[in-house]
Amino acid sequence: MKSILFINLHPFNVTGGGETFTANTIKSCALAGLECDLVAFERPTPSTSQLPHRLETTMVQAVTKSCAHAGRRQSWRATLDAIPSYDAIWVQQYLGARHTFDVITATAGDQPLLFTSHGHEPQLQEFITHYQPAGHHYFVEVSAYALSRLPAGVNSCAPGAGAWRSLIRPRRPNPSQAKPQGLQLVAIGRILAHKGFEHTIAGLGENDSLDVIGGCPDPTYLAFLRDRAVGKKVKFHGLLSRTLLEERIQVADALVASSTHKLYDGRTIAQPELLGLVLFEAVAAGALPICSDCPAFVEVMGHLGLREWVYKENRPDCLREKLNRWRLMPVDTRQAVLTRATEKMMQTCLWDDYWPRINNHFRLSP
Amino acid sequence: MKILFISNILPPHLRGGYELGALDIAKAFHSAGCHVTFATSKTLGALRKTDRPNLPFQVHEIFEPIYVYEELRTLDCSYVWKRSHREPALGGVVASNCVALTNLLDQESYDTVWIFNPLGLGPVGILETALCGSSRVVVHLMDNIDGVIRDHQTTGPYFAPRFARLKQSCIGVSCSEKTRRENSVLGKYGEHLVIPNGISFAKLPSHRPKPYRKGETFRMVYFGQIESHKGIDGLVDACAGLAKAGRCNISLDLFGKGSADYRETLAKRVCAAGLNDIVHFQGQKPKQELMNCLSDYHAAVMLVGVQEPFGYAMLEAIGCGLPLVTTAGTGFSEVMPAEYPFYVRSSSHTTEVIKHLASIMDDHSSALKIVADAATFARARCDFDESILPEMLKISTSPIPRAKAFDEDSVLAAYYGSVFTALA
Repeated sequence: MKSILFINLHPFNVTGGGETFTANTIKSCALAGLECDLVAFERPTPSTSQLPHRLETTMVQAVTKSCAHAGRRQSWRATLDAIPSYDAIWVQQYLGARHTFDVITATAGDQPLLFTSHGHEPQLQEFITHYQPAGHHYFVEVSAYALSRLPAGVNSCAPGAGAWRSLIRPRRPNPSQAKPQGLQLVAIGRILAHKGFEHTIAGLGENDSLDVIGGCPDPTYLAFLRDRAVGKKVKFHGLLSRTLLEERIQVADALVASSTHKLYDGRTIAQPELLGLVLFEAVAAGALPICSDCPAFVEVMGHLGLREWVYKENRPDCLREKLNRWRLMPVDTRQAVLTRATEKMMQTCLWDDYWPRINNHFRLSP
Repeated sequence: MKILFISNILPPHLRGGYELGALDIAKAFHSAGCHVTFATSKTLGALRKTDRPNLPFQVHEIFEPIYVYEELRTLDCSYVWKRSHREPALGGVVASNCVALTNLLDQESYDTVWIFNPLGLGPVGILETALCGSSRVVVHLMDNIDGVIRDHQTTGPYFAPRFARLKQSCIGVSCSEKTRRENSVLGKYGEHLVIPNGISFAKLPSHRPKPYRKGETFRMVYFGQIESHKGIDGLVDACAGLAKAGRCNISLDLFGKGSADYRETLAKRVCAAGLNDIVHFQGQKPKQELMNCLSDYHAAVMLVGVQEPFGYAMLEAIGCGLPLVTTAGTGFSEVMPAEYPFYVRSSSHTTEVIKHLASIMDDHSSALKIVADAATFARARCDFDESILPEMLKISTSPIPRAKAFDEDSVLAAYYGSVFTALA
C-alpha cells in the first residue's frame, strides 16, 4: 500500500479533538511512508442531500505533506472520481453526512476502506439502518465505546492514540515545592454546552484557579459560564496557539474535563465524547487528568491507569473531593502517579506507531 | 483452457453484428480446443428475434432479460423505470446478475472470463464479480462502454469511479484505436490492446462482382440494421440525387431488420422521393446466402455514423470485392489503406455520396481494382483465422494484471447499502 486518500466529512478549519486526531492519524501514516492527501468539506454541509446536490458539494484540499494543491477547491464528484487512483480510502467523520455511502459506492473491492468517527454524527441512525458490511471495510474507532455502537460482524478496532513520544515532557519532581494553598487547574475545549465547564467551575475549591482555553462557538453558553464564575478565580482565554496551550498545561496541577450528557439548558445528548484527547495531552505535559465518567473518558482513564480520578458526571461535589485528594497528596506520590500513567500511555497509546498497529491488526499490507 | 464468455445478448436475441461476432469468436475458441461456456441473458417473448442457434458449447441464460434496448416508450418515459432499472442495468449493478454469475463461477473455475458486452447486465457488478475469482478478466470492446456508463450515473448510486478502478485489473481488447480512446475516458485498463474485428476471408465466396456496363442497372446494396443511425436516410437521398442527375437506371437493395417505427418512416421517405421502383426492402437473409449474392451488385453503400466502432458488414463488403462508399473516421477506416478514395464525411453529405457513386459507375473497373487492393490490405490485419484468433488465444494465456483480490461482498454491499440514497 502506497497511498491513502483521507476524506473528512466536516470542515477541517476548526480546532477540535476530531480534527487533531485526523491530523495526527495522517502524520502517523506519512511517517510510515504512505502518501496521504486530505479532502474536507469546505463548510458545514447538509447531511441528507440527494445525489445531484451532493455531487456539487464543495470540498477543499487540506494541507498535507504530500498534497501539492493544498487549499484548492473541488467538487464532491471530483473527489469521488479521484478514488480509483488511491490504494486505500479513509473517511473521517463518516457519520457526518450521507456522502459516506457515495464513497462506499465508489470504492472497489480491492481498496481498503476505513472509517473513523470523531463525534459529529447526524447520520448515525441512517448509517446503522442501511450500511452493509464488506470484507474490505475497516472501522478504526477512537475508543471501545465508539466501537460498541457498530453493527455486528464488521472489521473493527480501537487502537488508541493520544501522544507523540517526542512531545512527552514529564515534570521533574521538586521536593522543595511547598504544598500549594490552591490548585492551578486547566480546562480545554471549545466552549460548547456538552463540555460541562459549569461543573468544573462549581467544583473549584476556595483557592483554586482555573484557566479555560478554547474557542467560543456558543456565546450564550459562555455568558452562562461567566455568570457562574463570578467570585472565583476563573479566566477564559479563548483560543490559544498550540505552544501557549501546552505551556498552560505544563504549569497546571491538573486538567479537568467535565463533559456531560445533560446540558445546562435542560437538553440531553446521546454521547458527549467519543474519546478525550486532552486527557492524553495532560499526561504528556505532566498534569493529572481528572474527568467525568462519560464512557469514552472512563475508557481512556483505564488505559492510563487513572480510573480513580474519574468523578461522577454532573456532581461538582465529587469533583471537589478528587481535587482535595490531589491537593493533599505528597509531591513524590503525585509524581509517581503521573510517571505510571506516562509509562502506560507510551506502551499502547502513541501516535508514533498508530498506523503500524492498525496495519498489523487488519493485515492490510505486508 | 477454460473460458467463460459473457455477453449481454446472444441469438435468438439479436440487435446487430456485435453478438454475432461474439458468437463467432466463442465458436473459434471452441474449435481451437478451449473448453467454452457462455453466459448471457434470458431470452423471452418479444426478445426472440431469430432462431436459437445450435451451438457446440453450453449457454447459460442466467442473467435478467435485457429490455433496455427495446425502446419501450411507456417505460422509457418513466422516471421510476429509469431510476430503478435502466440506470443500474446500463451504468451500475443488477444484483441478481451478480449473484447468478457468482454461482456460475463457484461451480467451475475458469482460466479466463471474457466479457463482450456487459451493458444492460449492470456492467459494474459484472466486472467486479468476475474479478472476485482468480480468473483473468478480458473486456472485449466493440462499443463505447465508458460513454454509456458515464451517461447513466444521474440518479445514483454513483458507480463511475468504482468502474474506473475495476478496469485497472482487466485486460481491454478494443476493435479499433477509436474504440480504445473512447474506452479510456473512465480510467484505463490494466492492459489495453487493439485487435480489429475479423472475418474469415477464406470462407467468403470466391466469385467477384462483374464490371458494370453502361446501359445495365447499377445495383447497390446495403446490409445491416435498418435503423436511422446507419445512415440509410442519406442513402435514399443519394439515390434521389442520382436519379435527378439523370442516372435513373439504378437500384438499391436493403437487407436487414430494424424497428417497425423506423421501417415505416423510411418507407414514407422512399415513397415521397419517388423511389419505390429503385429502393427495395429485402428483409433479413441468412449470412451465407447474403454473402453469395453480393457478387450480383456493383457497389455497397454504408453511411454509418462516425461513432460506429467497427462494422463487420463493411469488411464483408470489401472482402466480397464490392466497391464500398462509407463514412470516414469509423473504426473500420483504421484497417483500410489511407488512400482509399470512397469516403464521405457523413451520411448527410449527399453530394459526396453522389459524387463517389457516379465515379464508381463511370469507371467501375478501376473501382473494382481499388477495392481488391483494399481487401488485400485489410485482410493482412483482419483475417480472423490467420491474425485475429491467434492474437486472442495469446491473450487467454497472458499474465493477469491484478495485484490484489477483490472482496466478494463489496459490490453488493455497496449497492444495497447505498441504493436508499437514490430513493430517499
